[in-house]
Amino acid sequence: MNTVDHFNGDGDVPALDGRIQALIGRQLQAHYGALVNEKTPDNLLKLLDALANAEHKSKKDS
Amino acid sequence: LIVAGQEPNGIHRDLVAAMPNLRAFAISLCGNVSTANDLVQETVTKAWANREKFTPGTNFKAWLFTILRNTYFSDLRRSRREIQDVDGAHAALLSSPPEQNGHLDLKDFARVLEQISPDQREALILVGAEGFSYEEAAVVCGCAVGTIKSRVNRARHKIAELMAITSLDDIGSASLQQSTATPASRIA
Repeated sequence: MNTVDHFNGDGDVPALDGRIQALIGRQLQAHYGALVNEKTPDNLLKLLDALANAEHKSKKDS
Repeated sequence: LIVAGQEPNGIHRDLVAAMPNLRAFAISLCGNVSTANDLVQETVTKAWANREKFTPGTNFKAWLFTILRNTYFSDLRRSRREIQDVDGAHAALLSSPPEQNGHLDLKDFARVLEQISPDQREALILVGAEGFSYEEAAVVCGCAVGTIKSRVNRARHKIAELMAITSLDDIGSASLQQSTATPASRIA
């Protein structure tokens, strides 16, 4: 996980201190990890089944 | 790292595996769970319909993220044409300033993220949360590697500013030692 890197800034804006980058990285990963770990809504999971079934039916009919 | 096959069973499995990350990225982009779910639905439908265009052996997650972000910005451009937000009232409803406090909980951090520009936010999330390399993030965003590096750097500066971190003195030793991170990338 790229919480701290060795990028030296973009010319106009120097890179932040590595410890500040690390702190921001941990906050970001905690925030994002919570989103990733949310339960995926059933309708999204069922969508894939619907797509697969529709394709199967289409091939069967043709 | 997942490598999708183009056969229905393979892509079905890989899309299911990618969905939590797609949804997290979508929420981060648009800041609205309902809109994010619609965006993921549109992305999955497009990926399924165009799966023959995916090159086996390349990064399937990056391919999905590219579809999602292109769909998002395309929808955004269309909605901006439809909503004439001349006085910025609509935009103001979408964001509110964060507390100027160095000790932020997750809800506060989400509000901080909302304050940075969309292009900087997506670059930071792709690199700092999803674990993409700068090169992979550049492919997803359709820009130069240097642009991604610059956006990530500027995003970090903006967050530090919003978190009121102006020097190392603002970071206590407890903050440096805490480890609240949850593995964000289930499929990386």
